[in-house]
Amino acid sequence: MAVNVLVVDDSSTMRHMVMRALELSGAPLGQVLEAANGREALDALAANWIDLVLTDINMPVMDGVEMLRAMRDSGLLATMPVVVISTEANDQRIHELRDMGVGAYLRKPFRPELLRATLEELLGYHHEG
Amino acid sequence: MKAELVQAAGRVFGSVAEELAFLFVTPAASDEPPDEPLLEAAAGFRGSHAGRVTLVAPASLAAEVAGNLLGLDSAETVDETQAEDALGELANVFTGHLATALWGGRALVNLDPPVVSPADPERWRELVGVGARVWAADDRPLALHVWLLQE
Repeated sequence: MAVNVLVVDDSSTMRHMVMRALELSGAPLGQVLEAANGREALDALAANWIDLVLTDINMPVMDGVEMLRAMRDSGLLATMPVVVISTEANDQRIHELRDMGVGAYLRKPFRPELLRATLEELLGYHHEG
Repeated sequence: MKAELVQAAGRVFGSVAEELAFLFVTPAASDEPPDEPLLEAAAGFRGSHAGRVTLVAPASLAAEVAGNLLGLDSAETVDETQAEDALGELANVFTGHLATALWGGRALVNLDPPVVSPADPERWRELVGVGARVWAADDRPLALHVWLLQE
């Protein structure tokens, strides 16, 4: 089964990096879509079938926490794996994100192997090699 | 900047620059700005602690950072927007890691999105005048200043 992924980050460079890491992860990828903030991400979620969200937190227009709240309120977070990829490492913030239903938290910069292990756990596949 | 802040900033910047952008950072031989176009990335933070990180670097170094982040063979194919974006991301990631190094995981520090703009040699000298340290990344100088709101 191919997994459609939404990558959310205000930095186009970081989005590109995350997409490269996704390609290297061996995950069974379908479409990979991009959004530059939470608002664009919610629009993309409304218009496309998405199986996994990888998102930053600190973004203009709508940040990641607001986006996650909107996803939680709409019931989306109950069924969709979300990985937060952010620079912050505040214990309380990470705890709040977990409570909201976020599946995993990766701190920038992250190694592609860590993303692979995270996706294997969240999506339940195993990549050889 | 106070001595312990300078030490922490240098240590964290070296680590982040190497891990994120594959740059090797050492103290620069001179505090003088390079004779080429400069970019300034400013990243503010608020919360239990507040302040601002300012990074001024040659545009060519920003392009190299972008090339390394994007996995390109040459920085020559990087456009201006990508170079600015990459320098902002370097400042942003550095700021987050510096906050953790200074105050640990219990401090609630919110990072503002970085702002990148052109800079000139006067701006470089102004920052050095208020305590910015000049580092060499792959033999090119960059000025790094950390300002903390008095606590």
